Amino acid sequence: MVSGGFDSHTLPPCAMLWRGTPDQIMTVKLPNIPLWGARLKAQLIGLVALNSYFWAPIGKYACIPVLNCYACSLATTACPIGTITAFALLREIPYYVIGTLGMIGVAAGRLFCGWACPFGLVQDLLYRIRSPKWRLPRGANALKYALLVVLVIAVPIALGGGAQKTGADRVVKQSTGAADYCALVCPAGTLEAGVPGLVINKKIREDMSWRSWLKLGLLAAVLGLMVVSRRSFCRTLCPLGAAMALSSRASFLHLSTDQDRCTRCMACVSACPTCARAVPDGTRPKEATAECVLCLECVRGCPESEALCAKLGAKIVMTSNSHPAPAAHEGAISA
Amino acid sequence: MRKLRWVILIALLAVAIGVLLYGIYQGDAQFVLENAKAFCFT
Repeated sequence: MVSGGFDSHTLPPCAMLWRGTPDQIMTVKLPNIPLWGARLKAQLIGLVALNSYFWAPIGKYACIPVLNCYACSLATTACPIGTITAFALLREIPYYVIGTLGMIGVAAGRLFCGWACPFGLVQDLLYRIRSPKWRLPRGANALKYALLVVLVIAVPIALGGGAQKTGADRVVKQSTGAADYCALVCPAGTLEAGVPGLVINKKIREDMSWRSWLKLGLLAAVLGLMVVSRRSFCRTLCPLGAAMALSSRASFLHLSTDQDRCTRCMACVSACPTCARAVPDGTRPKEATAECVLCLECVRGCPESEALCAKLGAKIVMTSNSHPAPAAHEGAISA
Repeated sequence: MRKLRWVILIALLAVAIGVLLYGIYQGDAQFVLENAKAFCFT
């Protein structure tokens, strides 16, 4: 848990990875992150666009790399994780999903995670609630890779087989005996499809099993974790984040640090919602990691002119301190 | 080194597009749509 001495709402717990003194931490300039900023607008547009119902007949052909459950009646796109699970049940390679995610990943990295994912929006909003803030152990990030390999791929492959792509025997829900990620874990599915289903459908309420209660309990735990730890679900439990992790290191849209201009003030480390730039020894911020969702809060937060920029290929699309924060905002960390 | 990075990225993008097109050729897009509809409970 973050100790006292500064406002835990303005300084993310990941800043504690920097081994400076508390006084040094408190002198870090804060990024100007208005709640109703550009990213929030993009997330709201994404929420509406991905859940606008009428696009579904066409949109559900597409696997957009966001966690938006296709069991929700309003959902307009197919969930990549659910689709990969379905292909694993068939024991077939999901070329279509790999191609889609690969193409988007190489072009824009995990931009969709930071700017369009509805579940990311839920996390960003819940973290605004005043509460003690926790720092997740670094090893927790590995859990999402285990979930991807075991519950999204291995278990459906082991328990599937015999299903057909089309016709009466085609893959349908619960065909793994409810042992895959969607059936056992996915809190996005519980929130977007399970809970509304329970509210509006009496039969679903009557047929609730121990599995339903388990998923509701897990959803409550994950929502609670989101309040105390920033983007905790993305970092620890999201198998889509794990699948897209490689693209953070190899994409046309990427972050670039000018080492000559960087003063190692660690403002970017403080601003990062996924602690992607934090390093244990605190000597310098990391350039790019698998956790980076390209939210560009680090670029916005960097006080040095043109020390950090986002590039699309060789072209700079956003650079640090191009729009200096209002003077009143600086030093907003209160002792 | 920078040129090599662009070459790798362009090659990765080309491979991804190729895999996507092969998936469409295999009929995966139709399966994705049908699967998504099957999961939707309304």
